[in-house]
Amino acid sequence: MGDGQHKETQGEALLEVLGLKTYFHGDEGIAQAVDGVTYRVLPGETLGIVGESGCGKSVTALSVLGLVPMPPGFHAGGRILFRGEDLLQAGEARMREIRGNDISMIFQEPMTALNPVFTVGNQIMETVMLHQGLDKEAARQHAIAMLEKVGIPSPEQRVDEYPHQLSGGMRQRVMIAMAMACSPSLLIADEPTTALDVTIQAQVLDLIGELQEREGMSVLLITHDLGVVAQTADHVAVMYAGKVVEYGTVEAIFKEPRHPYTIGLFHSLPDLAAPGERLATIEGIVPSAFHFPSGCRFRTRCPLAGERCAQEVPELEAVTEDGEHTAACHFLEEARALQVES
Amino acid sequence: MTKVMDGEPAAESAPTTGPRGATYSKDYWDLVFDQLGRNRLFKLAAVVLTLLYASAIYAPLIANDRPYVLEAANYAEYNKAWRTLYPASLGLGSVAKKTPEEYLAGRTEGSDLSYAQALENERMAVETQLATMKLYLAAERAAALDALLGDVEELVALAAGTAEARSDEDLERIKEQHGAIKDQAKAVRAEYEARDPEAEAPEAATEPEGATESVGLELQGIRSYPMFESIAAWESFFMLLWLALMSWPLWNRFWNRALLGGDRERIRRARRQKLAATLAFSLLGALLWGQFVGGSSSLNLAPYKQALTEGEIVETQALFPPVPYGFAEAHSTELYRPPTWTSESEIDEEGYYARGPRRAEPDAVTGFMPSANPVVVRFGESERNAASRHWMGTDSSGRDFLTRMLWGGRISLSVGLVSAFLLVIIGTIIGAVAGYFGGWIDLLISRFIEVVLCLPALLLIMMAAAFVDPNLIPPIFSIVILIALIRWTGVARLVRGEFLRLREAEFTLASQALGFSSARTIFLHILPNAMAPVLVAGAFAVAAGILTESTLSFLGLGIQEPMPSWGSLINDSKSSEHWWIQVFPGFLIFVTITCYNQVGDALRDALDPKMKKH
Repeated sequence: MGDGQHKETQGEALLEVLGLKTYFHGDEGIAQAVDGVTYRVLPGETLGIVGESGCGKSVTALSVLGLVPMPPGFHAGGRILFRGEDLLQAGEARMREIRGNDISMIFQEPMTALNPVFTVGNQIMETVMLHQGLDKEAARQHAIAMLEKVGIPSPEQRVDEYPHQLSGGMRQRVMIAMAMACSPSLLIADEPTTALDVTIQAQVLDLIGELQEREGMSVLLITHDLGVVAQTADHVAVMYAGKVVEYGTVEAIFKEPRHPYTIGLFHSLPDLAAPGERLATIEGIVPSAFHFPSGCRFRTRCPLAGERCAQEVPELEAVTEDGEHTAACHFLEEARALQVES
Repeated sequence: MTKVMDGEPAAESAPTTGPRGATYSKDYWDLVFDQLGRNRLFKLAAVVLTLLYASAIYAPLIANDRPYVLEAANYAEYNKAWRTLYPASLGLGSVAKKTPEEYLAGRTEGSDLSYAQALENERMAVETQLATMKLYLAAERAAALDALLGDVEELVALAAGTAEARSDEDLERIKEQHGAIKDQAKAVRAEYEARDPEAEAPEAATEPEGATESVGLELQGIRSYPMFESIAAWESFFMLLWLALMSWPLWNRFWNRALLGGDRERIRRARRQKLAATLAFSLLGALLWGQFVGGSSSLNLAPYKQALTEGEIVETQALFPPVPYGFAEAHSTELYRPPTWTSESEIDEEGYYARGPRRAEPDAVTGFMPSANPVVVRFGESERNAASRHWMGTDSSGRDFLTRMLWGGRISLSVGLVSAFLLVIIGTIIGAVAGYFGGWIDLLISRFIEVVLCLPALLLIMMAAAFVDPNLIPPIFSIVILIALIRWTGVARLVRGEFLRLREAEFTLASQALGFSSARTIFLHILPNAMAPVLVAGAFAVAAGILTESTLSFLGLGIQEPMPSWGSLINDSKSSEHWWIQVFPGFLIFVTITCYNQVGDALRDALDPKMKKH
C-alpha cells in the first residue's frame, strides 16, 4: 500500500501511520484486524476514523499506544511515526513515557473507564505525579485546575469524590481531564460520546473542540457516528474490514463520497426531507476477519462488484487533482453514478 | 461552553452540610460502615468476637498462677545461700592458695579452666550467695556482708597479681587474708540463719511459747510483680493494640475535634494516619515493655503457689488473678472434677465425692473402700467446695478447665486469623498472576488449582502434620502454614475470576494508556477492586481455619501438651460422664465460627457495589 502517497506532507504530520498491519492469532487462523492502514494526523487537526463495528478502528488506535494485547496480537508490518519516531520500534519503557504524556486516550464507557476505588482527584494526580514529577500538593492543585478546565462545577469538592458519585457526563469530563492532565499533543478519542445521551454528547464534543483549540493539540476521533465526524473532524478516513477505503477532507467526503461503501453509509442515514421512508441498508454483513474475501473486501456487498474485484486488490487512488481525496475502488466513475442515482 | 452547566443531577448521594458549610458526600468506606452499622447481627457478632479476642489476649491477666504483686521473703532461697556461703569461701581459699602450676596439675580431668578463670568462678560463687542474702536483710546486717565481699575481692586481686611469680611472703599474705575471710564466713554462718518458717507455722498454734524463742533472723519481704514479668513484648503489643482499638471512639473524637477542627474532608484523609498511629502506639509500647520489663513466660509452671503453700516463701502481700491457676498447673487430687457449682462436685475432707455418680461406696463383698486423698488447696485458691474453685471443672490431670479454655483461645483464635491471612496472600498472588496474564500461565495455574482441590484437604494436612518434626517447627506454625498451603485455592479462584473480569475493564486499559507499569496496574488499580470478595472469603477462611485446627488438635496432631487449644481440650475425654470437657470448648468453637460466618455475610452485603449508592 502507498507508502509514498503522502510523502510531500511527511514533514508536517504529527502522527503518521504507514501501512500498519495488526493481526491476531485466533482459533480459525489469523485475523487481519488492521491490514495496511495509512493515515496521518496534522498538528492541531482532527482526523475522524469512521467505520462499522469490527472494522479495525479501535485496533489502529491501540496500536498507536502499543496497547494491543501481544500474545494473540502482533504487528505484521508498517510503521507508526510520532514526530518522526517509530513507535513500533520503541521499547516498553519509552512507550510508558509517551503514553499519558504525549499521547492520551479517552474511552467509550466513562462508567467503567474510571477506577471505582479511587477518588477522581487521585486518578488525575497519579498521572501528573508519574509523568511530570509534581509533588502531592502541586498535583492536587493541578487536578482541581484540570477539573475546572473541563467545566466541572465546584472542583474543590469534586476532586475528593468517587466516580460512582458523578453522573455519566461528569465522568466523561473527568476522563477528559485525566487524559489532558499532561497536555498531550495527541488525544485519541475512542467513541467518546457513544455512551452519552444526545445533549451531553454535544457538550462533550464542544469541550474537546474547545480544549483542542486552546492547547493546540491534535485529535484522533474514532466513531461510527457520521454526525459526530461532520461536527468535529477536519479529515476523515473511512475504514472497512481492516482497510482504509476512502480518505479526504470532511467537506470532500460529505459532499462527494466516491467509494461505494461510503455512499452506502450515507444512504443508511435517516433523511429528514423524506420522513416515513424505509431506511436504506447495505446488504449483507461485514465478513469475518478470519475469512476476508479475495480482492476487494467490500465486493460481497457491493452493488458494482465485477470480475476484476475478486482478483485485484484496489489501491487508494486520488479522485481530485490535488490528491487530497483518495478512494480504493476499481469503479470510481461508476460509483459516481451510484451516488447520483439515489 | 465552560460556563454551561451539566443539566443533570450533580451526584446521586444527597450532600450533607459539614460544619464549615462545605458539602460533604459520603465516600465508599462511609457507606460500607453505615451499612455494617445497620446490621444488628453483625454488631452482635463483632461484640462477641471482640470479647473472645480480649479473653485470649488478656488470658495471662485473668488466669495465672503468678501473682500480680508479691511482697514476700524467700526463706528457702536465703537459707540455701546462707548454707552455701562457708563452703564457697573454703573453695575460694583452696584455689587462691595454689600457684597456677599447682592448680593446673591438680585440676579435674576434662576441665579446661585457666587459673584466672577458676579464681573468678570461685569469687562469683561467694558473691552470688552474699547478694542473695543481702536482698532480704536490713542495712545494718548487710554491712557485715559488704565487708566480707571487700575482703574476698582483695584476696582475689592478691592471688591474681602474684600468680606469675609468688614468693613465700605472698603466700603468707594470701593465707592470712583467707583466714580472715574464713572467720567472717564462720561468723555469718553462726549468726545469720533465718528462722525456719516451716517448723514454726504449725507449732505456733500448738505451743505459743516455743515459737517466740525461735532462733534466727526475721527476713525482710521484697516486692516483685511475677505476673507482669512473665508477659513478653509481643503479648504486650496485642494488649496495647486491643486497648487502642477499643478506645478508638474516645480518642477519635478528640483527634477529629481538636486536631482536625471538625473538617470532614480532613477527617476523611486522616483515616490512614489514625490506623498508623494505633499501630505505632502499640509497637512503641511493646518495645518499651521489652526494654524495661523484658518479660518472657518461658516456663509453663510458676513456683510461687507451691512455695507459698509450703511456707518456703512467706508473704506480707500477695494478690492473685481472679482465676489463680496456671494452664499447666495440675491438681492430682481433683482429676475430672465437675464444675464446682454443681452439687455432684462436692468432696468431703477425706477426698471422697459426697454425692452423685462419683460417690465412693465400699465394695459390696469385701467392704474395701477405694483409696482417696484429701483435696490440696494451694495458696490463693478458693476453698475446697467453693463454687468458684473450678468454674468449669478440671481435666484428666486436674488442671482448671476455665484457665485452659482461656489460654486455648489464644491458639485457636490466632491460628484462624493467621492461616486466613496467609492463604489470602498466597491465593491473591497466584490468582492475580493467573487472571492478569492469562494464556498458558492461566492454564497451568488453573489445572494446578484443580489438582490441589481434588486432594482431600484434611487428610493431606493430617499426613503432612504427622511428618513435621514438632521440635524443629512448633506445631502451631506448622498447622498455620499447612492450612494456608492447602486452602488457598478458593481465594485464588476468586481473585483469578475478578482479574479476568477487571483485566477487560476499561479502567485497566485507561491506566495502561496513561503510561502506568504493569505492577502498578495490577497492585494499585486492579487489586483494590478485587478485594471485596477476597475480604469475605477471608472471613470465612478464619472460621474454617479454627475448625481445621480444632479437628487436628482433637485428633492429637495439632497443639501438643501442655499447651491447650479448644480442639485438644475436647479430646481430653470422650466419656459422657465428663460432659463439661465437651460442652464448654465445643460451645466456644460454635460461637466463634457462627460469629465469623456472620461477619462474612455482613461484609458481603456491605461491600456489594450495588449497595453503595444509597
